[in-house]
Amino acid sequence: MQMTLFPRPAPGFQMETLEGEIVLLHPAYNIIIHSNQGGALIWSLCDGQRSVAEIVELLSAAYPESAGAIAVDVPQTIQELLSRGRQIEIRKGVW
Amino acid sequence: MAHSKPNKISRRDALKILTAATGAAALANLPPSWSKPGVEVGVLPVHAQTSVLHILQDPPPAELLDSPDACFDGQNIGLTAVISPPTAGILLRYALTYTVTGPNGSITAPVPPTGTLSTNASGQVNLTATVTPESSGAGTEGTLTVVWSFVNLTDGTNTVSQDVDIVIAC
Repeated sequence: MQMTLFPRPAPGFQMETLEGEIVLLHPAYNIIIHSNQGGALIWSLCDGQRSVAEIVELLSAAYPESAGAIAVDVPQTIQELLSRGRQIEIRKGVW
Repeated sequence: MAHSKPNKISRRDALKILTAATGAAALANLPPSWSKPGVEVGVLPVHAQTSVLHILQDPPPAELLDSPDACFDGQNIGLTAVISPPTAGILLRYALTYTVTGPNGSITAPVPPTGTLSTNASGQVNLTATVTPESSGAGTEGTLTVVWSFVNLTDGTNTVSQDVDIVIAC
């Protein structure tokens, strides 16, 4: 995962909140994504305006005690969404 | 944007940004500590599935096609629309307009400048438009705009538009 890429959710996802966790539905793909709070934070920051590195920096500033884990978790989670296809789009610049 | 230099922000500012980014829609309260992200992806059960609704994606950049005699025959522009998920046979409507900002010109192809096209197996349609100067000696300058939409709202409901700057200097 290149840290300079700019991820954003694929268009059309509908987000529902349930006890701090999120469920994402995509009617066109018949996909459902369930995420805990950590995943929800990453998802919410993938707005096409922030690079992967900026998301890491932002979360690390918010949770400095977990900066090491965040540096691993963020690219890993985005990569996981990418590898499963269609959940997230990515490109080398702001959208 | 406020996050342009996240490596210099304080924890307080970072939490503010996170609240702004997530608070309204996703998380009423930010988690007090970082939790390892867990993401599970599945398929909606059949009873919860809806008919497939497509989405027009942001169009790829328009192509200014080779037009050796643009002053007389016009400039050809390659336009593409893409839907997701990729599906063949979805009817898309296009509407072209040309807004002049310099010497006059007009859309000479397609005629009329509105019509429908069917997507290919990749979920794409390709359209070649031509803008021709009114006077071959003066050229033309303006903006070609194409608006794509679904013919059948059961296929999808969003529209996308694309502006292409045209300069034909003669």
